[in-house]
Amino acid sequence: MSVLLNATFLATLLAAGVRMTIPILLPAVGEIFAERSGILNINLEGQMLIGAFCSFVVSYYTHSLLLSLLVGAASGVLLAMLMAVCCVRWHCNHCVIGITLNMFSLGFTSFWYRVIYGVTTAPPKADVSSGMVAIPGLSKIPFLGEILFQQNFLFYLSLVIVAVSFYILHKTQFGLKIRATGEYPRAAETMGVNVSRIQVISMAICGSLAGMGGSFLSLISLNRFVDNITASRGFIALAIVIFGKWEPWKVLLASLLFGTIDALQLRLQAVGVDAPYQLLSMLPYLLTIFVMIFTAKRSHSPAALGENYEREQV
Amino acid sequence: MPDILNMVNMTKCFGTFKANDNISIDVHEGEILALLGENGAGKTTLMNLLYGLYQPTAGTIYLNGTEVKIESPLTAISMGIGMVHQHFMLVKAFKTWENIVLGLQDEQRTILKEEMAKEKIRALAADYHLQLDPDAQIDSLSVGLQQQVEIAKVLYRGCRLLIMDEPTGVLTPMEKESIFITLRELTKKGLSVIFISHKLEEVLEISNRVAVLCRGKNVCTVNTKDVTKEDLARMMVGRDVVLTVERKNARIEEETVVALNNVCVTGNRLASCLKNMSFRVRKGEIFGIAGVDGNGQSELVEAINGLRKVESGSITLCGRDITNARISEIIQAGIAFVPEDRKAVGTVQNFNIDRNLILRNLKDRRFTKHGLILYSILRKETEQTIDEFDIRFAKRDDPVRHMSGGNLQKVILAREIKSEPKLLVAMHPTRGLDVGAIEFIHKQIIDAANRGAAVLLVSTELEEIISLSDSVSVIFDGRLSAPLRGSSLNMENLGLLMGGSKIKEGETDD
Amino acid sequence: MIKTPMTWNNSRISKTVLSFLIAFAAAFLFSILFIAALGVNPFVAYGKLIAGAFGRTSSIFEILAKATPLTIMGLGVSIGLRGGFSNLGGDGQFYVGALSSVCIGLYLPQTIPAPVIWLLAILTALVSGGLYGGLAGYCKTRFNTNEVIITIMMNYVAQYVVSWLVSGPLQAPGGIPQTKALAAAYTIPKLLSGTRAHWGIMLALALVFLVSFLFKRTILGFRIEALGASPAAAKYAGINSKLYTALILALSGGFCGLAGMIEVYGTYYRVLDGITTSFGFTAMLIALLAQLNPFGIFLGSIFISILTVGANSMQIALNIPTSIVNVIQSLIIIFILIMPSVTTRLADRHRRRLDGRGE
Repeated sequence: MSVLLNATFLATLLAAGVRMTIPILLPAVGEIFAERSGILNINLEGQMLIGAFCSFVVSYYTHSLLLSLLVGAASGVLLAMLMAVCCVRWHCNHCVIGITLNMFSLGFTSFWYRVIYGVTTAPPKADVSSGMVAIPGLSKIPFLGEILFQQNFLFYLSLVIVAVSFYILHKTQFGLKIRATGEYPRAAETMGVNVSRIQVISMAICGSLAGMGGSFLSLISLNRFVDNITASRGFIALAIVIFGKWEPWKVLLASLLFGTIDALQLRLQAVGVDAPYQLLSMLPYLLTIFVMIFTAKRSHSPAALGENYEREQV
Repeated sequence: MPDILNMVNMTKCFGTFKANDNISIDVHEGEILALLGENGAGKTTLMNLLYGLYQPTAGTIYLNGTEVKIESPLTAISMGIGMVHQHFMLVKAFKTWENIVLGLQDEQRTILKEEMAKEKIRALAADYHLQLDPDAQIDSLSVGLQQQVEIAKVLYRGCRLLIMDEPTGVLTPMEKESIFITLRELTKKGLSVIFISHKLEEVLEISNRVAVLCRGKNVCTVNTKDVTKEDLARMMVGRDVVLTVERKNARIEEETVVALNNVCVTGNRLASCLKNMSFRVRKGEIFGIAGVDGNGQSELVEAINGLRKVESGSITLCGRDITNARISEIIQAGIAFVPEDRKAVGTVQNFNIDRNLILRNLKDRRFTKHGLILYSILRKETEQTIDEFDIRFAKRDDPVRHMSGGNLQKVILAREIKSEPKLLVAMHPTRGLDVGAIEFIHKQIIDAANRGAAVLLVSTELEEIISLSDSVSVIFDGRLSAPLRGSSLNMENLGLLMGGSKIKEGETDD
Repeated sequence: MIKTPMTWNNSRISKTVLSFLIAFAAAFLFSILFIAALGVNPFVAYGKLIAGAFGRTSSIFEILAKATPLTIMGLGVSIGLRGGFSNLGGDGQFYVGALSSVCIGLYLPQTIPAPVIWLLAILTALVSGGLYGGLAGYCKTRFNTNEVIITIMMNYVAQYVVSWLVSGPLQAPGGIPQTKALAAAYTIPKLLSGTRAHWGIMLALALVFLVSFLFKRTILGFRIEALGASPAAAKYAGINSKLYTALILALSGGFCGLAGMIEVYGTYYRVLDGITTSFGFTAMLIALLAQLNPFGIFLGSIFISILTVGANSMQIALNIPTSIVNVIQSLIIIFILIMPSVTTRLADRHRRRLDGRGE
């Protein structure tokens, strides 16, 4: 137990926690856009997975972190567009088509990974720069410096994304349109808002962020690609959006909590705490269940979430 | 007076159904043109064409003499056309200013400038005598105030031609007068108004001219001062309409079937909470409840049927306390309910007629045994019902989703009436139906009462209430007036009570 | 509140058949592209698939063996869907049912005759899976949680708990994370010795008839369907939605637990760590493919099993990854899901063109 209260342990733990926030935070913020425009994007997991895979492949050949990330984001957008078209144009049930596309992503990524790399005992690694950035000056602060100011650049990018998302949603006409679409699409339509276009754009934003989050997993976190590398983080992100009441800053806090728990259970396993590793591994998922139980009732979700809006109605 | 608008030969088809058939209307500048017609006549469709929500199958629109194509509401708005819908197009979670600013293409186009918007709104309110609080959240406002926000929305955008779609449906008579005054103010400032309505009195009161639509066609356009109520009614329906259907030889017994005693129920809004409501309906009596939507009718009806919690007080059925009883118990006790929403509540759209007919009586011994449904016996019964109630459909086993409103309502009514209920609660039973269906349903309700059921009829159609009911109470602000009967049961008294005023002393019986 | 609405269009038969044909054709077309991209002749590939699936007796029985738990799970998922709930916790309920039922066979006195053990095992699996599923249902009614997310999370919890138990307290001597094997007398006999299919398939078929009967003739089935089709109408009809929500998810979970029991008693004879199934998601796709029809679910399970077994051969012979099955089956469902809307839009456009010609 004394090991845990050691400052160094705490510092490395929290630093890791912050790092593991990224693959949850990015898709969650993306999902805020999707859900606030009325689309229940169950396909979040699949968009992350495809981002993870495509960015990995690109990194293998180009060794460029930036390019790989961009491709990862782009692939997320492509899949999100497919989901958007099915929901917006062809009026599929969001949950059902989302689940189906998740299975498609799983099959697609597993298939092409095996085709390109075969089955080897030494799986290929993503040979890119780690993207670690140390903020000059601040990173020298004891304890906090290690946690907050020597992080992956994606973390700082995520913070910027959170701030920008807040601004977009609450201070711009575009954000107003998104929120109106998710609350009362018919009213938005009468005000000249192109509901379909708003939903598609929101999905594009979501897909890019989900793809980026997935890319982080394969490029930086695990440094390689495995089947189902996302391990249902997309679903955890869905729960976090509810927990964070569809607000970027609250979602950030919730993601930090989850990231820390995720890091904690890994650290505890490494340290050799006297508990079976399975019970530790299950912590993030248990936490999600508890979080859902305690927040779902008090939540005010976008009123038109999950509904298929049809423009011309008799 | 020049024409601000000409719609020429407008046709709109939905599949094989012609909602608008070669309609031509024009609006002079600074006038109020009423668009009169029954439910389904095509008024809203025509205006949706004008507002860019639908695209015409054929026809041309001219604004100020120039031909225009209105692709979307955005285009319509930019041309100075504004629409206030029947069901308000307001985002409840937003504030007033956010609703007004949504979709603007001016300085609010990218980054929202909150203070600037609020100032402009306040100025607008002062200019046109509107009651607006830019910071108020929409779901905290009364219906009348919400309508003011809707009007402000279009005025903010420089509207010159205002379309009002059935604006008085949810207003009290006082609010109605207020909106009429506002409309006259607007025309004085040079705006033109198209006033959609199915209410003859209002059309005569507010408009300069009337265009009458009937079954998708424009019957004629006349100066308001040149026509009477009867003329309009005739043109609207296409035949001479007998304005009342009468109930003869009502046999009302002394026995009380249902009684409410100091019932308090929490409502969706302050005005619709039931406050110490008490009344009773006797055997064989048709008791009507009139009132503008939103004064507690839904809450009352739901409370009786177990769909809403009663906070205090009691509801008894033939002496037995059924307050907050389970819905299945209430059904068993003998209360039948024809709900307001026939598609989402009254029936399961995916089920066929047979299944919908036992929807509420799954405990009926005739059709169920040991947890199984005896479909063969049920089918015979359904055939009988279809005959009796003249229910029309395309295919016998099709889901009821494909049936017309009138036939759907017949299914619901058949189910509820054939259960031989002690109390029949009917809420807006003929809303949206054609004249033939309305007559049929009225007759069925009267027959049920004649057979001894107590009937609680809730409706906004005053003519329906007056002609069917033995006594009528008006619900306002969650409270019920004393019942009106006989000579005191007239439009004037009803109107007053609906507006919250008291009627003259000595005018009520009992 | 996040709703998971499921409305099922009772479209005309010919339209449905056409949609299916188009969906299958489109999906196979895509798969042909994938295979061709590998430089393999698609026809050779599908030849291997068919040969692999039907070539030997053992493979045909393998298909039946695989189809058994899929059918049962598919039935379970379809019950949930009819009631308006997406039960994605099939895997978790499978584990729970598998482990609890294997304990019956391992730890009760071994003198109890097999049929009794089987009966007890079936009941245990039903109840444990049912409780696990019902728990998700309870959370939904009490706390208004989205059942999609909760059931997926519960999968992981169940998987890890079973994994821990099987590596620890319930581990068989020998060091491998698995339970002891069931006594030979307790295993379900094979249909044909030497093959993998077992008499559990009879149970699966019996359940197909049972579920069909449930929804065609019983009051319970009526109420479930009403709730799924129109929650507001169901409430109006006096159906207690809180009770039925939990009940539907419990039934669904019970079936999935039963699938676990069948796999243990019929195929594996023990519970191992790391049988990561994605049965749950596949079962949902099968239910969707079959439009919730019980017989269709059986056929769908057979179909998917054919693909799976055949794809194995394809992989061995031509090095085509088996994950192509996931791609094919998800593509089929995607096309089936979008067909109604696509055809409606095409029909509308066609009609508009006709109207425009001046009717």
